Amino acid sequence: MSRLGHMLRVLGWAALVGFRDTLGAVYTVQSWVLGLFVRMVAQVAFFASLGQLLGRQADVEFLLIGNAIMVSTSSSFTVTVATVGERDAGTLPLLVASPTSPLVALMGRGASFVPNGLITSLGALAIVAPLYDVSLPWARLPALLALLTLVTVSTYMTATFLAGFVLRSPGTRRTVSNVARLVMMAFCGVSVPLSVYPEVVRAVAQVLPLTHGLKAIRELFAGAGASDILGDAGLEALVGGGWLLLSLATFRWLADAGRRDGSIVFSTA
Amino acid sequence: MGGPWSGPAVVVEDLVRTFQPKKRPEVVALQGVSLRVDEGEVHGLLGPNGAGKTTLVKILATILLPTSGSATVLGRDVAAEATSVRPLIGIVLGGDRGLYNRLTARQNLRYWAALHKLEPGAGRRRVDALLERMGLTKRADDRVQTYSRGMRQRLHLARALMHDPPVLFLDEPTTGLDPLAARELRAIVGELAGERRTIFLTTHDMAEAEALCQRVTLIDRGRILATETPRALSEMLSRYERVECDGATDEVVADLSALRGVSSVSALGLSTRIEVDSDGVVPEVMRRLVAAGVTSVRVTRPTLEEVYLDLVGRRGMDV
Amino acid sequence: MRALIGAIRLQLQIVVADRGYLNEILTNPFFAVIFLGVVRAAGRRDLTTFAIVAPVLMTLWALSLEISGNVVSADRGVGILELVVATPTRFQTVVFGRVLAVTLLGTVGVVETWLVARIGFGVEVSVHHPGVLAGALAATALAMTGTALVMAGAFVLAGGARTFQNTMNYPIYLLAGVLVPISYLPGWLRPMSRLIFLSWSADLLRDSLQPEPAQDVLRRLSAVLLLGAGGFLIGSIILRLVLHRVRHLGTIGQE
Repeated sequence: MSRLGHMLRVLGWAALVGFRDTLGAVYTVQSWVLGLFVRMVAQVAFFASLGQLLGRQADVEFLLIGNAIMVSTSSSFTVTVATVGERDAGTLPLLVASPTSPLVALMGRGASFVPNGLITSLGALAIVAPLYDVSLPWARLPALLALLTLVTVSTYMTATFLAGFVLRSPGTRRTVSNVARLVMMAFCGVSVPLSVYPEVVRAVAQVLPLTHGLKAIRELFAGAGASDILGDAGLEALVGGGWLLLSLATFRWLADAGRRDGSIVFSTA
Repeated sequence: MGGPWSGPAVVVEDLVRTFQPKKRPEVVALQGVSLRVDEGEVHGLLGPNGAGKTTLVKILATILLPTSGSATVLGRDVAAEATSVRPLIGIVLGGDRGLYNRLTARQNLRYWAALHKLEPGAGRRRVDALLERMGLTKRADDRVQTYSRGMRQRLHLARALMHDPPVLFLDEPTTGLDPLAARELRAIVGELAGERRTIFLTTHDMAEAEALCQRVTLIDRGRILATETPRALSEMLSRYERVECDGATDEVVADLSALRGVSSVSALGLSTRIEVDSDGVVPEVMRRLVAAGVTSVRVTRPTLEEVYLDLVGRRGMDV
Repeated sequence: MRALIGAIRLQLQIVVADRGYLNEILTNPFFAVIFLGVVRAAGRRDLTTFAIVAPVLMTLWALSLEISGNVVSADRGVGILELVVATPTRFQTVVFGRVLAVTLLGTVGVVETWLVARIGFGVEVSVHHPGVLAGALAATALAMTGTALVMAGAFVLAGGARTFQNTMNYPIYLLAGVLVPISYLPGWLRPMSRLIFLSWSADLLRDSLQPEPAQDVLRRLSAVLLLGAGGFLIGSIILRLVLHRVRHLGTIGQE
């Protein structure tokens, strides 16, 4: 119990540091709106307009919802990039040398990207949906919020797993997070229904974050029953948990390899 | 570009340069600097950090515009005729910057050959020749990020020489180099001086100025203190020759302190230094020391560094 | 001209050394998959040309945004800008050459998209009007370079403008009808769309892949080139202003 308590304390402190960093140094209100929010809103509108081109309102709705949810999970991948920042700041060796798993601290540091994702996603949804005559089930907002948090967190687990690898070769950080985002955009049912893809792609999609959670959210929008929604949400949680276990298993190993070859100390510059 | 020039290589008159940082008072980097560098001369600009050395070099190199006053290089105004000055000058700015680290030395230099409008064939040959001259041929195709500071500095020099300019501006070329690399670089600068190039060099290293320069200008806080040959500069204080001795007794110290023309007697570790401020006192000091049985006696003259510290210090401390 | 070629060569060397712009180039096939997949799922094979043209233009635009944001500030950050300024070559020439190099690199998106269509979706892209396609691509590359010059100048002149660097992708894709023609936009936005050369490029490229005869090709090509030339002119003026300002303020070596 005391071990768990200790981990939670570390997580909490790291999250606090991360929030302070994000609010002060990474974003101001103005740069958040102009540099991030406007882009995300436009991205959702861009895909919704593709639905218009196709000519059916059902397509508009499918593309709009999928991409609005995608916005939130995108934010999670910032942790993959931020890890290298930790290394450049020289704090990573200290974390590795501390008695807590560095993973816990890193997860805490990036945790501010989860609420950031939620806010961006909901904001984009609220602005773009009326423009394209998509009605939102506002009465089910708490359920939507819960599901959105679920997919964002499960994606965050995947992003943390990737962060471990990026730590070994920091030059790839942007490429790794970018490709991970694109894979999810293309293969998790965000814009393209999975039925289009061959069997093997569909099978891979089952173990990616977002796939099941997004399905649950679509069911929520369509007014499906709780059991269907909860079933898919459960699968999403399972996938997220799987990625968390993978991160824990690989991270110590990667950090040790970094200690052996010295790559943990040096900065990217 | 005009005909051959037969005046001083660099003329600076009443040059003023101010900077206006945001929300802070104006900074005056140069406050009315005048100076002249003859053709073929190696001229040193000596001063502490923040004295205005780099600002002056950047104005002469057409990078910065003067606030007022004028400067010419081989007769062309650096502000009004910048485009005709640029082919005549080569610049090395101090520090680690100014190179594409992920590219090789050869790739870096080929780029500068193009910027100086050399024909591709001529550019290639020139790059090869410069790499050879700077002793970089073996490492020419390695990324610059793997270079030592000394190698980087030689690469900078190669870049500056790309178009064979008659005038070179070197801003603290040996700062941060280890002693061996600094010596190598000075040797190259010496060679360049031998080719009748005009070299204007900033430094805060007195020994470097003494070794390389025909004349030295001392600058502090944007003002010129003096321009002299290194020898003349040290002679400025030569009348303040001083005597150092070992084993002086309290009696002889008291005796010398009372002597007219002796400005100070101070302990210098185990030895004693007697400074004088008028001619002809030194022999009297020596005589009295010997008479008191002190035999380990030396007469010394100030080094350039001491002159410099003296000139800077005199204006420095009481502001 | 020599300096221009030197700048192009330098930029290509930097791209190779840094594995730069890999993101923009990797992004292309994913978008091709997404657009082609959406069109297929909806059973609208007639919209295939839309799905093919969009990733090409998006790659080009993303590349020129990226280079225009970096070309000046990176040199400035490492103290190269001040050395370039002191050479006989005009700074605009250097920027133009380096941006052009990246834009030319961007045409690799044509190949990528073609491969995805062919291998991933078994779609045979037939070019019905090769002349229009070639002309539109060439004009687009030039206009892209001119426009990047304006952006490069603006990013230096107003440091805060770089906040917009990442923002200027999807709004522009939407506004310029890169994927969905601008006739789907609200009427009051359309005049604005026509000021973005990409809107003309997108229409031309789509027309070159359709069997119907392309109308008004010369007029529309001229629109692309004219808008690009305007960008080049304004960009050159801004860069000159920028240089004069930094030489005057003494902030040239600073980031």
